[in-house]
Amino acid sequence: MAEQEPIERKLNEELLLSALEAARQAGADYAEVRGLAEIQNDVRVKNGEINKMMTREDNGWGLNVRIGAGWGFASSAELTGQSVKEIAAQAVQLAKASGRVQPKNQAASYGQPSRATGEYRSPVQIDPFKVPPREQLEMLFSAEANLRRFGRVKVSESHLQAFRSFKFFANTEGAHQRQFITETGGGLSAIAVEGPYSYQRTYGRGGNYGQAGYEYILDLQLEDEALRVGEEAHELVAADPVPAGPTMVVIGSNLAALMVHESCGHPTELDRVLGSENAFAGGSFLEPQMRGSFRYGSPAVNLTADATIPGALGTFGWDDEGTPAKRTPLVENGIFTGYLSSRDTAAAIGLESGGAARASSWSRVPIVRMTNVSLEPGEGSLDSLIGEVENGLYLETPSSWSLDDKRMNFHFSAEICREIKNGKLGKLYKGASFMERTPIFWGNALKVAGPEEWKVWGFLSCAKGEPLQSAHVAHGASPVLVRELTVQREGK
Amino acid sequence: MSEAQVEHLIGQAAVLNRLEDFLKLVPARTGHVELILEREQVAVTRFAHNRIHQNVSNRDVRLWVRASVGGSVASMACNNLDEKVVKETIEQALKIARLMPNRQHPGFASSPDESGHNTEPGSEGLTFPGQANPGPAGASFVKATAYQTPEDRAKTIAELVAPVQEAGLEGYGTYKNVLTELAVANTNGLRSYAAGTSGYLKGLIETADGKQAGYADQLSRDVTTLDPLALARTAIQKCLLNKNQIELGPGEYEAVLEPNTVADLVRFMVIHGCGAQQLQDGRSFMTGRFGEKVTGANINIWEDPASPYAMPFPLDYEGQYARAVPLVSNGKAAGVVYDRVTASRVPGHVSTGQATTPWNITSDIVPIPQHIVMGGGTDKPVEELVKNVKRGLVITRLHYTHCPDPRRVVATGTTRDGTFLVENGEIVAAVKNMRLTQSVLELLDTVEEFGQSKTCQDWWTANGMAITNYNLPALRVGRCAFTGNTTF
Repeated sequence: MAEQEPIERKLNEELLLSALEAARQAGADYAEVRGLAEIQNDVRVKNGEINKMMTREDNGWGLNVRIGAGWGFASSAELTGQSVKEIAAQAVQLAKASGRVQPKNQAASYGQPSRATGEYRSPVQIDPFKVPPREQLEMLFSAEANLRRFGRVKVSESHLQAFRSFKFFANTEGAHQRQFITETGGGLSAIAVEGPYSYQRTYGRGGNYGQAGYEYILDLQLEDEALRVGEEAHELVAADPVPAGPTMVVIGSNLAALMVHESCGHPTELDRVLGSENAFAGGSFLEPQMRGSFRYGSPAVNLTADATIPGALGTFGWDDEGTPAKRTPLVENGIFTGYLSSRDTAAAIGLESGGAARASSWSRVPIVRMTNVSLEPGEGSLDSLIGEVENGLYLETPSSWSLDDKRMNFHFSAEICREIKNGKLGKLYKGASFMERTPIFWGNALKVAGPEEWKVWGFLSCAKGEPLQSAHVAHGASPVLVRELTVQREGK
Repeated sequence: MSEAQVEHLIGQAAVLNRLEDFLKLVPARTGHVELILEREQVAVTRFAHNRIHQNVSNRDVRLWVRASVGGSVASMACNNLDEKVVKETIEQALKIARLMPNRQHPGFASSPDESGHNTEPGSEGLTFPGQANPGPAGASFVKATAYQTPEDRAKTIAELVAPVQEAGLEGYGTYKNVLTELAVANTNGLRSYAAGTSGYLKGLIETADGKQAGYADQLSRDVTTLDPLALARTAIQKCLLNKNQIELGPGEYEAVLEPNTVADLVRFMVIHGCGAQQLQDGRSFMTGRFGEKVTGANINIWEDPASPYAMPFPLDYEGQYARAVPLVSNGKAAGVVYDRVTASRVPGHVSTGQATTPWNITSDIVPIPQHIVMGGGTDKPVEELVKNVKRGLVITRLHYTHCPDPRRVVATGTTRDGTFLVENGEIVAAVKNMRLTQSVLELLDTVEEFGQSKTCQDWWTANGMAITNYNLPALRVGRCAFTGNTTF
């Protein structure tokens, strides 16, 4: 028998399996148990000092049961014979209480059974938890000092993070899965201040993250990137305000990734469509009858949910209902075709689960989440897109974003904006934002740059669900050429 | 949960004794250690289409170990209170702190009384319009809330849903009960403890086709004050009124902002301007402006952790008593909140007791106001405020607001669940949702009338993404800027 990894020893799999039997004995029609052991490192340097040096362990388990049409989920950090009995009883009590507020003849469908067994491990070359803290700090101090080389930068920060998890899942249908995932990443932030103005420039807003070891952090080259980020912050605060008005634009990869997240990923979540998130995250303008016919974008727009992309944050072996990772087209040649879905939501509209039920923690119930929702690449380089613009703007990196509760109207601000004149990048502008309706924006997408420009961005904090679930998701995107967008000037 | 389970969870003596035992695990002469223990039990029942579709409960304990060696602080956290695990966690934190360059951390407090009040240069004499919370401190823990069972929550939701079904409408929403206890102890002798409860009930009512929506919510430390029937009536009434929406173009309008809307706007003053870290970073709207006008002279905003109407809680995550702090006084920038680290950077300043949770791993830990009160509230319901609007809008609440310009506190977000056009003092039409984009400071320069106050949370806090509670009045404002609209 192979030697257990330290993180495996945090979960007693026999006790977890015994919870299924305890649930059955307590009256559950169906039960699934999920144990999760996690360790996380967070190191931050700010203004020449260590801002945070923190390691956090978080271990626990949860039991999800169904009785008729009523669901109950109970969870605990304690995993003992006694707590298994208590949590099973609580989950059943919750499911029975749910049954008290159900319409007559409420269907109890949970879709296709999940019976898969196996193990998934994300690739790791350099174990991030074995890199000496001093080595991590030296790199961060060096990067942070590079941000401060530029006079107007008043607040500078560099950070790195590492996450490791071991997840055990089993259900009463026979699924039995073990998953080991390591994620790393980091980022930079420089805030330049001059007079009444302050502007932030970052590396990828929150940074960038992937399923990998410390080699991913080294590949970010934060020390070199800091020179660019610091200089751009320094220039940005003294730049002219962006000229407002309709114009042709090129959207950079990082901003395009967040726009995909907000204006495609969220509205294609089937639980939102079916109303489960109406009172919090909101619904969706993409109603089931629109599938297969609604023009979401131009023919250049192809969007997929793909939980199999190597090294991306939304990749796994099985989702948290035990469904194998899948690739699902969401928008094909501009036509809306698919949803992100779970077992019950897919069953509600006659589909099979899209394998997108995820829980952010042992204490959370699986809900429909993004995996890796990406804008598929087209052709050509970023330079070739810019070369097609006589007069326009290049926008990169989101600084704020806001959408209505059906994801139709959106407002984004860009950290940085450059003039495009006769096919070449020109002067820097500050304060660019834009508001548009989702199908109009993507309908104006003339071209998407090719695979050579396609980059996967890992986001750590996609928020949804009650209690809140903050998910790790990723988005691949190449720069996008947009025929017309009305750029607004934040009133600086 | 049963009473036995609650007893298992709660107890000042038990928790502090446990921490006392853990402090004995700190090796002699190795450094100072502070332990922050937070126990939490959260139960959330969600409903959609008039049925409970999600019903969850979890209990957790988090122990945060902060080790200070020669002015450097390292942190380790775990959610397991086995002595062996805690001992390893303490030793590891001390080991990392020893490896770190001197960070000039101010060290740990020895008493919860070390927090206090500060005066900023320029804000001398600016204080509250009277006394913050002149009455006794509100209770943070209410037994009735702690004892809510799954059956209680189902019953509450059934009461809310019944009139919705009778009206042929669809109900969506959440009933959440939270029970927490926070204890801080360190090798300098500090011992602090507080417990809290909360009940939050919200209802979004829609027509079957989803084209009309109305909303209401209630928040309290004490669930016996929640009234699901009244909540349902308000949301149903709003839903039925919200029909045949007309489309209005962008522009400036008079407006009546209900308290939930005000919370979503004031939130950006709070998170981007009312904490010492933002001030010290040069990013606050108060930077260089203490004593100067930042809003209309009729605006008074303060942090009041003892207010019974702003979800009181007596402690912060450094074990310090949370103090009242004037933020905007008669329209002038008056102060910000501090934790120990930010206070140590200003000679003569002390923590005001607003240190936030260390558990958040993805962002900076900064002091933030958590119990915001805006003065001026009256007994006028929204209907009274509407009577004085010539042509304008009533805004129920906002969705997914953001702040494109933190220094000017520009907020943007779309309206939802009830936006109405008012002409000559009467609601004349429902309106398709609109995007509000405006500097909150400029908006608060046009407040003409105050209505009834409400205990509430902004959209972010209500949904677990932020931590500030509010007691805010409805406002009638003279100029509210809308930059666009949506299709529904």
